[in-house]
Amino acid sequence: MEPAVIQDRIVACIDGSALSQSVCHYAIWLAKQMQLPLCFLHVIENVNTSTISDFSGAIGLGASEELLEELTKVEQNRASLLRQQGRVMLQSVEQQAKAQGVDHVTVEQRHGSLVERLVELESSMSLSVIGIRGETHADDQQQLGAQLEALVRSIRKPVFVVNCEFIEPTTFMLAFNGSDGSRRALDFVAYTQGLAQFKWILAYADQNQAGEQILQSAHTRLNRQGFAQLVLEARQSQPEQALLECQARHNVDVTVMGAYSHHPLRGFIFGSFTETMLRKTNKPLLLVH
Amino acid sequence: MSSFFAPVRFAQWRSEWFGQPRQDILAGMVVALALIPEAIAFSIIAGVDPKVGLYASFCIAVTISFLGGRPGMISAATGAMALLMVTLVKDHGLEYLLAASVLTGVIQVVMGIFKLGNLMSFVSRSVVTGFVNALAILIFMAQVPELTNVGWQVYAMTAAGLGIIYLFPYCPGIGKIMPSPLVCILALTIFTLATGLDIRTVGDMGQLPDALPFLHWPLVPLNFETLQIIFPYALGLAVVGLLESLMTATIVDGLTDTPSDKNRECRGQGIANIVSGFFGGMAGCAMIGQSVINVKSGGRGRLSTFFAGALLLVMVVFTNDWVAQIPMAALVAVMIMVSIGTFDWQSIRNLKTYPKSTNMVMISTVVVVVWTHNLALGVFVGVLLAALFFANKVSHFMYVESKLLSENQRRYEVHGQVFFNSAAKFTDHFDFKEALDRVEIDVTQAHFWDISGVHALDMVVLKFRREGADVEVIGLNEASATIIDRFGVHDKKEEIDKVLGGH
Repeated sequence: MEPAVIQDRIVACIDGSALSQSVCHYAIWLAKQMQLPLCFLHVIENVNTSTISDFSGAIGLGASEELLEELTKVEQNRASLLRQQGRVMLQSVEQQAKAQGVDHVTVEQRHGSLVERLVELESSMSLSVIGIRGETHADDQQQLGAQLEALVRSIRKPVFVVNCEFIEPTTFMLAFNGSDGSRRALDFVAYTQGLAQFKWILAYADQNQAGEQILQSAHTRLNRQGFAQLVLEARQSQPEQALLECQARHNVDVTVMGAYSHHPLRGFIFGSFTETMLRKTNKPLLLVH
Repeated sequence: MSSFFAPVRFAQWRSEWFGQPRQDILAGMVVALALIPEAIAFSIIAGVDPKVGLYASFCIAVTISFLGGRPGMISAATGAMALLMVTLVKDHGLEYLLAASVLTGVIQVVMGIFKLGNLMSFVSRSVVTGFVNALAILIFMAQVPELTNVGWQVYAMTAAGLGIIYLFPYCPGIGKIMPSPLVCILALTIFTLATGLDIRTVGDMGQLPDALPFLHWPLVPLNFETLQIIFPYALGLAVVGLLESLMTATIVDGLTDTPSDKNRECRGQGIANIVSGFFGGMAGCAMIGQSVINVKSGGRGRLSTFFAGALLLVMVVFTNDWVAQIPMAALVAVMIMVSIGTFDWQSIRNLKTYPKSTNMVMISTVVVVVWTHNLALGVFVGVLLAALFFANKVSHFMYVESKLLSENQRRYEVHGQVFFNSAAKFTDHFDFKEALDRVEIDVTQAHFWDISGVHALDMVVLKFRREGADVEVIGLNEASATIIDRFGVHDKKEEIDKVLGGH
């Protein structure tokens, strides 16, 4: 196998939810722009919840063996059904990717936990693509996916969060305030292949200080990397609000920003900014660590 | 600190506690109802007031729900532990039992820190089966005093109770939504009250809790003499508690198809027992029957264990007047159910097909436990027997080929495992009476596992020399590579080949 297939690929997480199709499209688009191999991942989650309900509380002859058999049967049915569904989905997205000209496409089906699997794959992936909510919260438009927060907090590679139908991106926005997180986001944008050709909005928003100078440094940096269409937007106002306005005004297709801090305690307090953005934007976010 | 707050841990913590709150609370209720009669019954076995077992069940279940390594497992006051306390309570009283509970917990925490949970790998399947069966028999036997020297009414009530427990689940509609042991207890209590039958009730067996447990330092002299009294009990309790907990954890692992942290469970059990001892409860451990009931009722998370413990206490404190009216016959019926449910009936059928040595290990474990009422002793005997049988089996893997090279020269080729158990057999393969000039002993294909093996070889060489022969031993270095006690694990192919194969 060529090393390129293993190293630095894009991992797209597919489940049966409505956003999976869109995740697939964005992943294909990203793989083509960034010239990276693409891997579609379907994880059959072990739901540790019960499916049978027997409150009789009586245990008779061979109670434990009987129960084991019963539970095995229930889970066997569920797992084989999920496995088949997953395989069909994976086959379909693999064909789509190949048809659209992605060279290296692999699929992977696993049992276990999505977050754990992505952490295992972390070293060989440059980006993961995931829907903002999975099957469990499919109906609830307000709720973030059960896995998303854990995932964003656990893996140290960028996460592309899909929250809408696929629209081919032309305009990008980088939220930049000079913090460590936003500097890492800037590094990622600067070093990633295939992003220089798009229109980029460099947005700064802070209530306390003006950010023209901070933005200027980012501007110089990207300019040097061949980014031609750069627009600077500095606001002295409440960050979330300003960024959302900016998104709307420029018709931004994808927003890039630094993500939750990995420092555990700080994450609980300051992580809310990422969360607000996740809840309020209706275009994909690329969270960089 | 940081590892506790680490994101993945937090997500896991959340799913362990609140992964399925509705099912866990319902299962916790079923378990709490089933725990009450058991906790009372086990207190009676240990010879203490029912409140000691009930406080213990509350403390242990609640503590272990936070600190245990196996979510969904139920721990409380148990029969296995109660049986070990009988003489301590009889000879020295309750306060010594409380002190012993605390010491048990301390020993278990130490065992957990030293990762002795890993030693469970020495406990073979047949020993586990023997343990479970012995436990079931002991729980049943503990009910016998309640059934001797009593009127026919008690027998009739017990039989009716068992009938309700096993037939009620088949009732269409309500059968699967109401715990049948509870229905049994309610029905028999109402019947007794209505008819004014004069039979023994729970109230006759001792004090029930009328308040929440309070922190209480065991009133024992803090001296060496006390330690001498309680230490042997505490050690037995610690070992049995961990054995039953880890066995139960394995069963729950299997039922739910999820892993558990065995060493964390050991430490959790220890802390739970310390808490129990300080709050006036006896030592306990995980319960096989209750854990099966919990899983069967849909319990998977920590919440069900917590809820079971908390609800148990609330119910008993607020309804102690009613609990006191429960006839012992109803309790006996429930305990007989527990004993039947705990027994591994498959193992009886397996007796026909399993090898004799396996059966012997299982039956010896049962016999020793039933005879001594000490599960630790039974497990010790079982493990020992299993190890001996294993050594015996391996010793069959040895043979010696010999051929005459010339008229006065013979070559012996040793194949297989030479160790303490096969050393004598090894020596028997050599014919010292044969008059030879030269003897070659090729041990390239053999493995010497211990000093007994090497010693046997030395003696063979000496004997041949005494008969006047020249002796040459070939390949000893390779053959003795297995003697060295290595703490490393040979789990790589090349390493195993180096020691075992390829020469």
